[in-house]
Amino acid sequence: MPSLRSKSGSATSILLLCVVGAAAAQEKDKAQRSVPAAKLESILKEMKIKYEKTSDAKNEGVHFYDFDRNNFKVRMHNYNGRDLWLDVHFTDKISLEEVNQWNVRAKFSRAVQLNKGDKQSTSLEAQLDCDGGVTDGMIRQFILRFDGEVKAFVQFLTK
Amino acid sequence: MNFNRLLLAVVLVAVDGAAARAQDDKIFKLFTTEQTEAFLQSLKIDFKKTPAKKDGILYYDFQRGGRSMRLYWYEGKDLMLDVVFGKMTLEQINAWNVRAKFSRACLHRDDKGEFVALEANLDILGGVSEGAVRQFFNVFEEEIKAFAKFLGSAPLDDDIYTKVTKEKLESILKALNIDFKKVEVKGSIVFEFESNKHKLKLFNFSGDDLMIDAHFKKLPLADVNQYNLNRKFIRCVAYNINGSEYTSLESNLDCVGGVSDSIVRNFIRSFDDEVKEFSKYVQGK
Repeated sequence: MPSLRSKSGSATSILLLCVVGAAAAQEKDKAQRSVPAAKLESILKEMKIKYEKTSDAKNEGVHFYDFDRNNFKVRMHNYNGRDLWLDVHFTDKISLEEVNQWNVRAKFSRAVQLNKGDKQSTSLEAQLDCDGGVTDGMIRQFILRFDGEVKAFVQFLTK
Repeated sequence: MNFNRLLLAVVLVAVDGAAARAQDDKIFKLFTTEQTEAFLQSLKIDFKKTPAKKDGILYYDFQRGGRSMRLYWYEGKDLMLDVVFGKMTLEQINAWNVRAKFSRACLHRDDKGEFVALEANLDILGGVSEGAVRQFFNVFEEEIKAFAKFLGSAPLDDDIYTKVTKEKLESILKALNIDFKKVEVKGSIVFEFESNKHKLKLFNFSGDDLMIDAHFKKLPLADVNQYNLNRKFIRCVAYNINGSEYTSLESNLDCVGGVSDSIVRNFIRSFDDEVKEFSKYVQGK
């Protein structure tokens, strides 16, 4: 089963780092059914992430948080606390074959080719469904894990 | 716009408004299927109609405000709306019912486990106007928002763990009444089961993360990418394993940050819906 082997291998390198980060606030963690903006902002601040917040004028309760992580511009989307979304956009020309190759090996992200007119870009993204419950640790882990996915994606593109 | 054209526009708007009011004011003592469907279309609702097992009852399923909603039609004599949420404690359900005016929450059980439905009913027999049916919909949408907010503030009464043992995963699958087969592949446990006539595989990677997938026929890469563009929580991937080409729908749950039974249950159950949606997409290709 090649997919099982490759996918389990891709995440191992950052696992230890993530365990350390997530375990810190584990003891009193509770599962909540949504992530209010204030909760998300407190987690970002606790992780020392300096963000710029904007709100979707057309959709109430939809907020965007832009911040830098390891020299990449990351956007976190909060959709009414029901789901969180992280993405980084790459303007490099990346073929659909390469996009799919990444998705074959990825576990905690996906690459999607975007076409707007004659402009092509690629979004590396991850989503966290909060409707069925989410813990603070999961949100922290979601951010930390995505750092690793971005790093691995860049390595994948440059090799 | 000159004055005459402005006047005409005002008159037309007034006539239009009066016509709409007249329609709203007409009293029905039965809401026929034709009226129901015309009404849903007037709200720009794209619905799927299904007859219930019992005669005289119809289901209209549609999306509203990002949620799957169902309208129950009972021989045109009364209507019910519902939306399904994850499991809650009976105390939480009761707390909602104490404060709610225009809805009620109920704990239900089906072959996949327990879930909560938020419901509202409208009795037609005494006579209602179309405006009242519209108000019934509007108020229910407000109730859903309030209920979601209420749920958000209520913590789940679950234990949090950072390793999902195979015993834990088995107990969750059993609680969901999922009939599974356990297979060991290269040191990892894989649970195989069927859902909606599709074979699903649930992988447990050392208890640190879970992955669930379903396989479909080969699709062009452009279609695979298009699906990823339009959906959340899944990854659609084209595979070619030793000449065997197929498309895989996958979803992962990172457990290292701490998860609970309800989170794992939701991960498994929500993938059912993803498989249904993707099946439709594949059939259309």
